[in-house]
This record gives sequence, C-alpha cells and structure tokens, in this order.
Amino acid sequence: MIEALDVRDHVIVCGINSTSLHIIEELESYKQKAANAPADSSRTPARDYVVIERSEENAAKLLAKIPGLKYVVADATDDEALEGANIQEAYGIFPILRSEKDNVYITITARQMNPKIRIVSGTTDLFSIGQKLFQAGASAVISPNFIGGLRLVSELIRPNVTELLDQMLRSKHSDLGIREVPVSENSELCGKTLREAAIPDKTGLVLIAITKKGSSQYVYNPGAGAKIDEGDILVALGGRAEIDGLRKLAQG
Amino acid sequence: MQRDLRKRLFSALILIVLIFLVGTFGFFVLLDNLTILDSFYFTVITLTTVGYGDISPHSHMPEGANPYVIKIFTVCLILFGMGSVLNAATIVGEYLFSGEMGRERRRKKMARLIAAQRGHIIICGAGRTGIYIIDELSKTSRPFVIVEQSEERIRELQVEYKDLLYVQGDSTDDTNIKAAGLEHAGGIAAALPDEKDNLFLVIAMSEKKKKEGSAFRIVAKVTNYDKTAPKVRGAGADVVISPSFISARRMVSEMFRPALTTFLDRMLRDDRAVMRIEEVTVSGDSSINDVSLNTARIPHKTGLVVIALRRQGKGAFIYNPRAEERLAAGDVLMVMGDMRKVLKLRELAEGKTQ
Repeated sequence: MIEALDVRDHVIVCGINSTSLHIIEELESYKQKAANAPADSSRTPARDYVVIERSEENAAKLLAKIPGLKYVVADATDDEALEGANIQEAYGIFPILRSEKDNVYITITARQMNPKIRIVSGTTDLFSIGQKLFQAGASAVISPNFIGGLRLVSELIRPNVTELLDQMLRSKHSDLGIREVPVSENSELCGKTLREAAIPDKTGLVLIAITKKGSSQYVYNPGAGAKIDEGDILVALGGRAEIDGLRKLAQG
Repeated sequence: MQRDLRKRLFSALILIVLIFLVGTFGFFVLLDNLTILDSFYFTVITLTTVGYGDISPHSHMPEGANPYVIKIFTVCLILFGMGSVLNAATIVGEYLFSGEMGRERRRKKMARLIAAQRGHIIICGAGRTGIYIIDELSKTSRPFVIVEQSEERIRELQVEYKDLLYVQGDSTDDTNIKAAGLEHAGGIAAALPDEKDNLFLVIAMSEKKKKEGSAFRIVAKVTNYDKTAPKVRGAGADVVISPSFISARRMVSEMFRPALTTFLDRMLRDDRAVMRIEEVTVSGDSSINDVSLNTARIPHKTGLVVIALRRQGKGAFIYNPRAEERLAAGDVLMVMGDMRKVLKLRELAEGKTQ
C-alpha cells in the first residue's frame, strides 16, 4: 500500500517519455515564474505535479535533473499508483503512456476515482482510440500528428498568420486578443446598421464576426448593412483599450 | 519492371528486323523471279509458320542453281528466325495486355501535369503527419505533389484525392524530388518518419534555398526537438516542428486554459464551409496595388474584411488597418473567412481579376 503524497490540486503525469518530458519542462517553468514573481496573478498559477514512472532508473535520472521532483515508482495502470499520487485531490491527470490502450484504461480509472478531475490525453488515432478516450471520460484528446501536421502546413503557406496568432496567444506582452462583447438594450448601437454604427471610426476596431441573439453560429465579415440588435454578440480583434471602447459603446 | 519490359521489347524488335532483312535479301538473291516485296512476304509467311505454299523454294528454283545452298539457307533461317519471331510476338502481347502501355501513358501524363505546376508544395512522406498536410492543402485549394515510397499508400490517397499528383519513390533520392517539380516549387515539407531522413532532405535543398531565399520555404518534422531541431534549422529549414513538443504544449494549455482558443476553434470547426484565417500577398499587377484600402473595396469585391496588414511581410502587424492605408506590392493582407472568398481575394491580389 503506497502512501499518498502530500499534494493537493496538482496534476499527475503518467510515464516518462518525449511528450511527458516536454510537459514536465513547461510545468517546471511555471513553477519558476511563480517563484520569481508571486504577485503576478494574471499568469497561470503554478501547480505541483507528480510523475508516475514504472522504471526506478528513469525516475532517478529525472530526479537528478529536477531536485525536489515528486514522483511515484509504479505502473500508472495500477490503482495503487494513482492513489499514491493522491488522485482523489488532484486537479488533473495526463495519461500519456506509449501504450494507447493503457491510456484508455487509466482514463476510466481516473474518472472513477475522481469524477471532477480534468483528463488530457493524446493519441495518434483520433477516430478510433480518440473516441474511446472521450467515451472513457477524457476532457481533451490531442493528436500530435494532427497538430504537428497542421502547424507544419500553416508555417509553410501562412507564415504571417501563424506569427500573428502566436503573438496573440502566447506573447507575454500582448494584450491583443479576439474578444466577444454583448450588446445590451440601452446601447446606442441597438437598431443601427454597421454603417450607421461607425464602429471603426469610434473605436478603431473592425468587427470580424457577429452572433445574433439566440443563434449559436457566427456570421463572419458582417456587411455594412448588417443590423445590430440587443442581445447580439460583437466579435473584434484588438487590444484591451480598444475593446474597452467597444464595451462602452455596446453597453450604454 | 517497366524498364525491363521495354528493353526486352526493343531488343526483340531489332532482332526481328534483322532477321527479316536477312531473309528478304537472301531469298531475293537466291530465288528466281521474286520482287523484294515477294521476298519479304515469303520470309514472313515462312517464319511465322504459316507456309501458304504459294511461293516455295521449289516453285522458284532458278535454273542451274545449287538446291542445297537454298535449302540450307532456308533451314538456318527458320531455325534461327522462328524462335525470334515467336518470342517477339509474345513480348508484344505482354506489353499490350499487361497494362504496361496504360501505365506508361499514365506515367507520362503525371510527369506532364507535374511539370506544369508553379509555386506548388512538395510533401515528402504521406505518413501519419503528411496526411494532415495533404488534407489542409487540398481544403485550401493549394497545388501540391507528394513523394511517397509505398505504392499502397498512394492507392489509398488516390481514392480520397482525385487528380493526386505524386512521385512514387524514396524522398532522399534527389531524382524523385526533381521529378516532383522541384525547379518550380514554392516550398517543401519534410515529413518522413525518420528525422535523420528529414535532415538529409533539408540539406539536399540547401542549394535551392541559397538561390531563392524566402521564395522557397522549407519546413521539417523532427522527433527529438532539443537534439535535432538546431541541426535541421542550421541546414536551412525555415521552421522545425516536433509533434511531441507541440502537442505537449497544447496539452498543458488544454489542462489549464481550456477556454482560451474557443473562437478560433469554433471557426475552424464550422461545418458550413472551410473557414480559415488566411494571408494574401499583393502583387505588382494587381488592381489593388498602390491604392488605399478604401479604394481597393475588398469587402465589396470579396465579402472579406482585412483584419491585419503587414508591410512587405516583415515587421509589425497593423491590426484593423484604416481606410487610408496605402497598399504596396509585397504587402501581406490577413483575412478571416470562407475559403471560397479567400480564393476570390487571391485572384484579385494576384491581378487575375479586377
């Protein structure tokens, strides 16, 4: 009976392999950032993580690189291993062993042992194994080949767009984003067409999409004659200041 | 297989021609009262074992000739020639009916189609990663040629992608890349399963890269990001991707910030049409070159709104560009929308339409 580690709200990483090592790297970097700038709450809060690894030797090698590493030497498909990693109080788990069937198994077990846990797994076969992972209770399933292939082709044919999105999603300095702003009933925009509303003149923003009230679908590139009604959601790309300007307009 | 058959066919035909010549000439000289045509006719009738009997050494024996010479000549001709003629007949039959002619015709057609491509992407390796590259290029109507070793894989892909342009062979062999239209290609994706092969491929492209610079884009896949990516980049690749690295990043993102990519994900998954954020470069012959954004009337002509502009594809992004911004050749326009509209914009920006 393995004693549960003293951690809470942590994530569990199953297995030491090329993918999990990158994940561990990133988790470590969050911990470093949090240690250096604890007051910066806008960043992702650093979380503890626990590694479950079957091979004592591999675990030792990793421990040498990351002193203070929390780990359990066990087979991650064992219930005991998950208990040792205190799965009942964990925030999330990454079932990313090399064997995809094992990942499905771990997903089922994890979901049973902690119904609220967030499970993120990976597979090379989104259609078959991916389906099973979702059925087993996974919150998200990533296909490295799909994501890698898409990235390769985007860099090839849309290098500027790729850089633009990177800046938006990952850059530390960027307050740029795609934001959705709802229109309230006392807004001066209600009942106006886009042309009449003159949003670019008033805010410096161009609307890239609108969702009409009650619809779940976006209308992209709305034309000058498109009408704005109460309850619609306006979508624009811009910095915080500009979006605030739009919010003022949209909310009266 | 195909080269072997052609060689055999060629040598068999040469042999027949020789034998017919010998026969025709021989009978013409040795027998009496035969024209060249008759001699040829007699040779063929004899060697194909038809033997009508309308002409025979007997019926055309010249006066005072030595019958043994004639008969020995005829025997030698038959023994040596009959086998050759029948062999040639077999080979021709094989050629006609094995489908080799069809395959030959298809190969020549493929080579012609590939040679006509300009600015296309060469995809090396139609494996687990390559298929997603193929799918995206196909969805966004961009021309491409694949180089793939497995014939079976190519058959599978042909079912899904009609008019697939391909070269069947090893990507690390330069002749196959050349056959894929390297000379006029706009970019290459090294997506082979072994990262060492991808490195090798990138190195093979270094000459072209040196000559064309950013006009020829090279992207490559690696498995060990830390170890191999610097080598591949140093060899000339513009971008190096490690699927395990990139998926690890994405997994962490999904774990802690699942809502972050909502708008973009929903846009990409929109099932009404192929929706993308795309970029289009303004060319010198375009009607939107050297005019203000307002004058270009892009929303009116294409239904798209320009969400960002990048001067000459370098430097800062100009978001929500103002109406007065003047467009110059080489500037990159970024838009978001239905792929069909993007294609319209591409034609406009390339000067193909007004």
